[in-house]
Amino acid sequence: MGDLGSAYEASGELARAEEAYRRALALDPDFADLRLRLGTLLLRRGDAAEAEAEATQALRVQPNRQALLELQQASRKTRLGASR
Amino acid sequence: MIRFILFLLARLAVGSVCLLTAAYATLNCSTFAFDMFIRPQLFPWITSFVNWHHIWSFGAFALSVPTLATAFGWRAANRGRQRWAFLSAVAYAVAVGACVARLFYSPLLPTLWGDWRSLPVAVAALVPLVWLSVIDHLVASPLNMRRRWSYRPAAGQGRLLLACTIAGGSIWAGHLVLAACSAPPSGDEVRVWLVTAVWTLALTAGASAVVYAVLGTKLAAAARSRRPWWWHHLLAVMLAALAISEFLRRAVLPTISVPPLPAATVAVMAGISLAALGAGLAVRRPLRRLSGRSTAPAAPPGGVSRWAAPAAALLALPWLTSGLPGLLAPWDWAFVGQRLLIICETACALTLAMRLARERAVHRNSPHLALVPPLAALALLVAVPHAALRMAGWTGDRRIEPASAFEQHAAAIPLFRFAADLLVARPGFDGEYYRFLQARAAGNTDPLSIPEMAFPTTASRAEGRRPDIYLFVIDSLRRDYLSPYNHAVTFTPSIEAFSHGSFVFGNAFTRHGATQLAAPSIWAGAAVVRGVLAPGFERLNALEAFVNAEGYRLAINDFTVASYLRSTTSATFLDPGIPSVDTDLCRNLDSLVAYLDGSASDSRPVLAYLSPMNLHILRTRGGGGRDSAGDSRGFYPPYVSALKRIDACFGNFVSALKARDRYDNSIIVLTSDHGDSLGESGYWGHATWLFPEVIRLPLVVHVPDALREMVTTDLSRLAFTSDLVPTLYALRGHRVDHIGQPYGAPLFVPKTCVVEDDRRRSSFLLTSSYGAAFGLLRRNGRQLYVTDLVERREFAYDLTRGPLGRPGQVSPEMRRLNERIIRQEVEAIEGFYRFRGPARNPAEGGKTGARASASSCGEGGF
Repeated sequence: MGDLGSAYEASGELARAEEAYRRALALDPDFADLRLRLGTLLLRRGDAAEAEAEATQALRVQPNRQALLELQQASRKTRLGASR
Repeated sequence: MIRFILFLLARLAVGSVCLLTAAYATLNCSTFAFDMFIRPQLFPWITSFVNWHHIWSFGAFALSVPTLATAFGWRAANRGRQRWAFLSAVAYAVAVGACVARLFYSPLLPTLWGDWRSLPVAVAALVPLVWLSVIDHLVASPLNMRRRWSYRPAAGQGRLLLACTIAGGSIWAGHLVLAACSAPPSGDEVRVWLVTAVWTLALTAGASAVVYAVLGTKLAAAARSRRPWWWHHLLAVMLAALAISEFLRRAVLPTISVPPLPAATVAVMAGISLAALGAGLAVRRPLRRLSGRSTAPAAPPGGVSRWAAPAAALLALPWLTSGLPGLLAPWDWAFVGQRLLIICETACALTLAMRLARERAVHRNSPHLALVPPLAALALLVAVPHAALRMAGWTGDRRIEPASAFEQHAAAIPLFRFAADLLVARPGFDGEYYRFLQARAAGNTDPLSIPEMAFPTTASRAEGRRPDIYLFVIDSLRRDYLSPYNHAVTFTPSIEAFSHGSFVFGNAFTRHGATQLAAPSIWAGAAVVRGVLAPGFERLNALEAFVNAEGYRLAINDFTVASYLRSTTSATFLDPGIPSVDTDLCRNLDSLVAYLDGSASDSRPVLAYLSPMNLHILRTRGGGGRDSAGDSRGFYPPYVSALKRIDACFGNFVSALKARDRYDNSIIVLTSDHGDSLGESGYWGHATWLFPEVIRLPLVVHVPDALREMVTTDLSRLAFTSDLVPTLYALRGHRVDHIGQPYGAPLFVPKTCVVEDDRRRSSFLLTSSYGAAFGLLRRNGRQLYVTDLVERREFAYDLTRGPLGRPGQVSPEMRRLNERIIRQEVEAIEGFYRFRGPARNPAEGGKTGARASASSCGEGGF
């Protein structure tokens, strides 16, 4: 399911990709890598708050992971920028 | 009659001493039983028996001699049977007397220590029973035997057929009604239940037909001989010997891991000697009371009072025996008792049915007609599964497939399971697969070729102070009894506090049930096979290599691997002289702190490995304290009591490290080598099975703050204790993430790297140290499938559901898939440890498992 999401994402079908990621996460909620992919996708689509939530949740499973920290930081920055 | 009772008591006493001696020697034949029972002197009465064995032997000998008085009285006989009886009795007295005298001079049992003498001693201990039986047969008069076993073959066969039918029918109906009462089928389950009923009827009819065929053949064969009474007796003894030896060989000895050859030898000898003991007693039994019944023509049909009692007993039998497995459950090896119970129940049912049949006038029946019932049972056995499969095809209801129906409604009933194992190996059961695993579990006859371990043997070039390393591998520690894993737990505050600054791995397992393989697996950083813990293990010992390469000093309290360390390794044994079963974490930690203080000037870092036994079933079972917190929340109180104590000691140790400014530069691992069954589904201990509570572990890792900032991990990823040593290598800057199965992989990777999700796609073989049980963990540890050869059952668990997982139904597809992968993985690991070529490629280890549990990290390091 995660791979399907990546394929949709690569072909630009972001909504389908998001749906595939969410389905995969429903089956395996601790799959941090999927959360990273979903969070990145959400940030691309402009949903910074949810992207940050995904990053935060993934960091509980993969603490300290650079890519997740960067996603969290970028999401937060975008979210704060938007709120100003 | 009083003389016979005294004779009987004397013979039973002799038999008990001989059997106990043989049993003790047999325990010595098994590495598992020796380590589990003999070495720790687990049962004081066994130790006492062994220490006083020469006295017991003398007592048995002294009791046996008067029972041969008749034979000794034939001193003057010149020829024939009486002469042979006298000579045999004298030879017995001289030979056995000499052996007993020698035992006084040089006691034998106390010197047995799991060595090669165990098997000869086990066999020799049973010889007196056979010898005595031979003398008994020479002493017994042929007239006595002829009268005792006179019978009318035709009527005998007819009654036997009737008795087998009554016995089979009553126990089938009784257990089926019991099953229906305990779990009444509802709604659409009725159809499945009916298939189960017909299928179990076929099984019971099949079993009855087998009993009838065997006993009927015996009757017929004896009838055709010139001395039917003699052949009747001889065949009965042979059948009894065969049945006892097969029961021991198949159902008892494998459960204590006696290797195949000693198991077969002891089983055959025990079967012969026990059957001979019974036969000797039978022929010496006075005939007076029996003569009327045995020699008289068949009694005429009696009134109600003659058959009411046996009929009532027959009906009550399933109800009486159905409660006994529950009573047996708290005991280890309850399943052996369960099987014995089934055999006893069947024998009782047959005896009662024979009494009932005796009350019926049975006319001479045709031998051809006697073939009908077995053939009908055979047809039923063949037809029912086919019909059920077809019906499942037509209706599309997979639940009425024989395998599914049986698993759902009948597999839990020991009688039906036993019958299925005996007759058809259960629907869907692959006998060839079981034989394949049995051969692996029994011990491959090819010698091991222990490989050189695959980790770097040079010191790392990592800069900075080397951290101290403390590995707490607490035997039998269950994760659901620790608060970091279970919020209902309130009795481990120190471990809870420790977990706050540490990594709590939520998906950790052992590759092996029980210590004998689990501990070597930790030291090797790899899954291992039986026999690996032997001279040569040092080649595979990656933790020891790490200690030496990185310049650590080793402080150890461990009884599994310690004796296989290289003599050149700098190791200090903490608390020497304390038996392994008595090792105590609190005492170990006091000694460790004293050791740290005493060697404070030594600049080398410390690697401590402690594997205390506070929580082992041998310590907690039936003993320990009672704890109200445990009682109120469904935890096992003695275990909770012991855990509370070690939690406090662990907290004190962490405080001691902090007070000495060592904590922040320490790697501390809290885990166990295996878990434990504490009464779940009636199981206690961990020796021979792979249930979730046995293989699932706690794993809490504290790393120095400086290192913590540089690493990442995946706390939900499937982790094994065999990953610990690779983790230590990786944390010291070695590149070990490219090494594939059977080796573990680092738990941590540099924070810039990605922890691979390979374990979500791979399958991992699990094996029991002692029992013939093989498991498969799949989908990142979410699914567990176990083939248990001891119980001849398969289990499937969904491990995402609760701390103990949720047992599921084993479907034919699931069985086929898992059996195929288990087979491949067993072959792969056997191939790895028995490889004869010039070099091994660990990455080729698992055919379906991860080729390399690597992180995508390039050349990055910590």
